Amino acid sequence: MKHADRAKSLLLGLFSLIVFLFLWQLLAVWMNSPFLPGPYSVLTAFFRISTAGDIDGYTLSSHAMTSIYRVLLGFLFAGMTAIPLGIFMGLKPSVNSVSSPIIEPIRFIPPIAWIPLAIILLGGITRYVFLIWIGAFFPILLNTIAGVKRTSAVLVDMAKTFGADSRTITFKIVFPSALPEVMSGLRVGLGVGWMCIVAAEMIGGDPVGLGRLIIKYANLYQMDVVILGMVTIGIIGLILNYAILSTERRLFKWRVEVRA
Amino acid sequence: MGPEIVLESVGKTFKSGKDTIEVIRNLSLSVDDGKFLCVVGPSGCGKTTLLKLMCGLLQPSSGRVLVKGNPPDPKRNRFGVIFQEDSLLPWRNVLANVKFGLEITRNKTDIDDLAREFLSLVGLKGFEEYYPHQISGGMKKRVAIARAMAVDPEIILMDEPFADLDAQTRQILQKELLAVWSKFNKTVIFITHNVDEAVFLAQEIVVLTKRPATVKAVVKVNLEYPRARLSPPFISYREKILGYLHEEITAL
Amino acid sequence: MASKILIVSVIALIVIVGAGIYFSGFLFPQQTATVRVGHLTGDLHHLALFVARNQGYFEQSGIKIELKEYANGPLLMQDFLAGELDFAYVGAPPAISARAKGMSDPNAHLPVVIASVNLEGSAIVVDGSIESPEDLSGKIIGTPGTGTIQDILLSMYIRDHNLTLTKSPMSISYLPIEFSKGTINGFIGWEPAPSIAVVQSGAHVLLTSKDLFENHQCCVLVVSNKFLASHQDLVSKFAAAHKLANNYIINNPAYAKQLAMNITGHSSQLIDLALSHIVYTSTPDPVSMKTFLHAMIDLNVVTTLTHEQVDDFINAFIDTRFI
Repeated sequence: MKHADRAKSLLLGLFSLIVFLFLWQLLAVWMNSPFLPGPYSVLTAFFRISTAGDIDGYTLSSHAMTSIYRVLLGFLFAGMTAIPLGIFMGLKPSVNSVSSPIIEPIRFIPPIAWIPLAIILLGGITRYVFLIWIGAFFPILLNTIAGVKRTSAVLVDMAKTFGADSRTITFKIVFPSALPEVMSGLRVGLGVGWMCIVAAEMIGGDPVGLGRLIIKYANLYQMDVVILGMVTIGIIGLILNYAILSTERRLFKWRVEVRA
Repeated sequence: MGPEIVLESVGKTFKSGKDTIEVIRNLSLSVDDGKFLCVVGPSGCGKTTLLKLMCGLLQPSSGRVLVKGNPPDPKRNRFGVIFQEDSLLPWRNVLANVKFGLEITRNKTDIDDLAREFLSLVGLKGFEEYYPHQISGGMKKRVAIARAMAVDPEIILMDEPFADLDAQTRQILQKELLAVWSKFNKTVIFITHNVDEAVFLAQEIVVLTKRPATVKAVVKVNLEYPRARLSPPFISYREKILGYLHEEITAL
Repeated sequence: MASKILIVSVIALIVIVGAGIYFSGFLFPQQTATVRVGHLTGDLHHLALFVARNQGYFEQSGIKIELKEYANGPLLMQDFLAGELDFAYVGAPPAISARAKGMSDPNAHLPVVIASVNLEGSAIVVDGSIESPEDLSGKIIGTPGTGTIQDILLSMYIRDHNLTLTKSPMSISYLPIEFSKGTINGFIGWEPAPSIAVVQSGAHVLLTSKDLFENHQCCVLVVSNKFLASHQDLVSKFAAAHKLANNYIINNPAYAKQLAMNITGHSSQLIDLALSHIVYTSTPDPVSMKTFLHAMIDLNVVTTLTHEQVDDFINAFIDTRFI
């Protein structure tokens, strides 16, 4: 029964996708503009860029892998800094009140606004890592703090009555109970990071990366490759999101609301 | 051997904004080793505060609390505390929950066998791999009891542990608790607002006044275990305690 | 009831007066026409534009200009195609590829060359690790963006000399900065960017435009085909002002240099070096544009034309009536 339902929704999704592609193709044919390619031209561009490479010889997969590598590296640093800091700030309200006048205004600076500064001060991969870090840091930090603050006082008391020290309480009670929030922070952070990378690559000087692919072909007025780049970005973003979501589901079987 | 727990004119106040709330005033009490003591009192009178003072989660504002002659310290004393709320770690399965206390108090080597042993003692053999959200409220309490008993506590402190359960499960667990207690012969401090439960379990019942709480009366229950709830002496003990409580409630 | 009539008549009055003010512009046409002109960030090739403005050539012809600045030629041409610009000072290759791509779109605003702006004017500057053109192999060389004249010059050069290097495309203003940080081993850019790297970061000039492709057409003055069709008189006046300005530069080098220093804020030494790489002329060079287009077809920059169509395309691209 459940299996049949899934097959049905999959079929329905496929159907709407086909309708969408058909309408897009129809619009492209009707507009007949060299700047609005249809899905068929995008598909041929996909095969062309995947096999022969772009104008500088970089294939689609090298663009994609480069972007993914940059994002994951920045994301890793964001997690490594934001989670410990978030736990610390969540546990010590005094740290929170000392740091919030600094953190709060910075939080509202969009990562894209950091790009010129990053370009001037940093070079190579550090620039991308920094921008992803800036983008992913705050969602992770704020979710971690919220998760820590939501730790049940009874569980902490319970651990204390067994003589647990603060280290044990942090690692065995606070962190596991904040983990679902931390994970959703990671998921949001990765999404923000993925959006930042494209913007950063459009401005930075490296010839590889999906953002750069788009800019290259916008400069050549070849919109089929531009749309190919956009679609690739969308699909990879979707896959990254799904990867974390399914990790969450596996990790938090104990959390009933995640399973539902 | 002297008394296990002594409270000497203990007072406890909390600050809430500008107000100071006095929860316990001049409360003195002593509990002998191996005794099963119940504490009853009107709701909101500070019973939970009293329990937290006894296991060192809270410090008294005045007077002193002594466990075996020293202030209570969970790092030195071994307490087995059962909370009213669900205190199982939702991300750990039943077995790992029982092991939690052992991980802190014991060397890591033999805790797995020990945890399994205590799980079967509370009748949960076969549920080791279940997660808390998959088992009933009564089973969760059993797991909490197994976890507390597994660390071989000097004192067991229970804060209305069965309050959230249905009457039938509550009575079953009361019987099981008495069985465990008689097997290990630990000191038990059992807080409840249920007079029937207190008379069924306790060797000695401490009745608290309304807030700020102090001892209103200490009643020794001279009845053989297992106790029959419908026997005349049982009922008369119950009436007596209810009488004390009634005075406190109407005095509000 | 009376108040309703009052409200209605007040509204009617506002509409009539408003319409009167609005349409009076049609009844009494303004003496000056405003045109939108695109140009590139800090590009000394476009000196004529600033001379014409400073000397009041545009005002004298009854033209008011509204400047829009872009980071490179392809970005400018994207706006141009969409009809956001009437005139543009832009490199010939971006204009060629934009025209080639947009030709089949009746709504696109296609560029038409009405004058040359300059020839040559670019240079490859490099750090000490590169002494001869062969040393470019395996190095990272910045460009002001894919599809720019500099990008195509570099592609043509590495193709003809069998070199492999990594191109690093970025905004022109970042090229000297990235060079000084050592992120790139050198770059090709329009003046004064290469001269900035020479004077401020100790770069040396490896190859100039002259070495890469002697007398090549660099920037051109283009007008939208749609604007040309409807405002031929204005186009003629604009081209005349431009030609006047380019002649003024040629005849008054000291003035040109001082103006270049004023608008860029750079030193006399730097501007001397930069200007030495630029040839100012108003006469377009169809031969080098054809060479560019052939190369662009080979490089897959232009995918909608064949080599056989090059001559016709360039002949239609250049309108010599105004020079």
